[in-house]
Amino acid sequence: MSDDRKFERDARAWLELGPTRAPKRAVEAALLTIETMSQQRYLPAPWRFPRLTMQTRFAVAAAVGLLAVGAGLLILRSPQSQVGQPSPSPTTAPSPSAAPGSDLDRRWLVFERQVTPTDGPGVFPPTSRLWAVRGDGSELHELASTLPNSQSPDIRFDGMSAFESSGFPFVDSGDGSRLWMASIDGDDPTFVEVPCDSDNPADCEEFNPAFSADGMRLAFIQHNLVTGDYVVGFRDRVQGAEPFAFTFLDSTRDRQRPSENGSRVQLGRPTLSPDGEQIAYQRTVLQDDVPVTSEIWVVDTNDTNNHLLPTPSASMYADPDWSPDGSLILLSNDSERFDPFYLSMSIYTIDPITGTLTELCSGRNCGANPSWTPDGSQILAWTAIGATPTWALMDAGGGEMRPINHDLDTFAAEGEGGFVIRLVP
Amino acid sequence: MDPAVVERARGGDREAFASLVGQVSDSLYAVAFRILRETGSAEDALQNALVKTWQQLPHLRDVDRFEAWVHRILVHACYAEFRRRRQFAANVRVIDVHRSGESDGSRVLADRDELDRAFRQIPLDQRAVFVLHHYVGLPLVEVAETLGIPAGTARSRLHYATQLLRAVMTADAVRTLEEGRLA
Repeated sequence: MSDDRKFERDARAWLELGPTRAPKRAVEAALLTIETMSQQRYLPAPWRFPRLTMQTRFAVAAAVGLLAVGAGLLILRSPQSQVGQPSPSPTTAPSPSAAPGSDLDRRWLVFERQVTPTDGPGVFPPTSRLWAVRGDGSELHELASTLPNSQSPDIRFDGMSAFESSGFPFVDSGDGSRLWMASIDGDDPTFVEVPCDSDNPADCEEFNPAFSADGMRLAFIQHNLVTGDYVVGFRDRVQGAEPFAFTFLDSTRDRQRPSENGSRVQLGRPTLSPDGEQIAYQRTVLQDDVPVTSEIWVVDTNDTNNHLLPTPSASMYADPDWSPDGSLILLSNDSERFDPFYLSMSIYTIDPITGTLTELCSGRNCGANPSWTPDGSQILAWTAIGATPTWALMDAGGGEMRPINHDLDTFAAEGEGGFVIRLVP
Repeated sequence: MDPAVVERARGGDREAFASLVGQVSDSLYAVAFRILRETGSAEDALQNALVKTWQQLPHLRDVDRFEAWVHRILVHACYAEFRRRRQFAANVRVIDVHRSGESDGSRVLADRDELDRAFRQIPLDQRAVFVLHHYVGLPLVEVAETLGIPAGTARSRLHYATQLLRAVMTADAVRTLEEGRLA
């Protein structure tokens, strides 16, 4: 018998030694625990979908990415942008008469592609991967391919992406999301270590990263898996031995643990004002794990003045994105509740000072995950006009969504899910 | 495993879930013990895994994959339990694998306790692969699928775990090595 086979035989014999019956007390304790525990119908994030049946999966494939996983569309600001001044495009200045998408041809776009696993244990939801492509459909390539599930990207002016990833195969990772960064070149991603108020770093997860306009500040949401706290935080680049300084805004801290009536809250989608001095974020209230309302809050980065923007109650305002001139915050709204057969979204702006809410579009011809172009003149979003999810532009004042047609529509149709997109100027 | 029972449990039927628990708990506990090598830890990991399985069952897309899926939850519960009990050490005491080729060719089955001690010093992710492959009997491709890792990662983890245990079983000298991280 060869050495290898003998080793395997001996190893198996050794492994056979030991208990093979589960202790009754452990099994009974587990069954007792679930007697009063509801199942998790939605994943713990601001945006998730009802469990898809086979019959509805294809119909909802286009909608999945448009309402994807807590991510929103964000257009990266140029480093030359100043407070109150719209920044020009580095290629051509968009004009109302320009053909839709013409100024995007050489721009980099980074997007999240969701693919439902066709093999393996088949855990819902779909797996997300990040891809980059020029606006004309060329140079398509994957980012952070070594990570198993990446989503919610934001892009800095130099093409560096920050995103969240979960389920990567490190022993100490736990199941939570963590922050990573990757360059547009597709190099190996870099882990972003965030302090956690616990002995074990894996007790915290971080998600929804968002750069400031100058790229020096990175906002995020941290969730402590042990205490249940959600908090808005940010990282600043500093000089010296410790290159980063972390700040957690205690006035935003909210607990996930359900109240007596089964309601709980989650935070998500931070967006920095152009001057980096304020953060708008999404606060979702869930009842029995179902999102029932979503609000937009604004806090100063010195941890003062945390306040609610006056959106109508019992609605789902989400995906805040601060305009390049700081005057408006872009929002999406699922005002008609999620319908798997139809994409029905609305896009709004809200004045963060007066609270004036303005609808830009609504219904099936509107879009989702909206974000501003760098000069603030247009809004980029996903739309389900036609059979294939596609990127579209709309004037900042509202109106018609104009699809951007590229060869990528074919790529977009391959996966079972949809996409979230980021544009690099 | 009856897919209809899994489907009912997925829909919130606690009796159906209890039936599933009855079918998998022995196997899950056996795997947990062989990974953690400690009965108390294995019990806690099993209990946590069963609760998490109930919570996340609505997210299981393919009911036919229930067993593989629940084993993944169990392995992650073992990781969490291991961290909780602070048994992981960065410096592992291993057999000098480079000297294993210098043996005189005679193979002596290591003392059971020595093997157990050596196994405890293997990183947890390597132990999980070793147990799923040699005890549960899964091919490496299925081990990788179950754990949600690339097949190459599963292979390299098994290789390192095997090297360490083989060195124990040839009763070579022991020296302390810095643990290297595997992809």
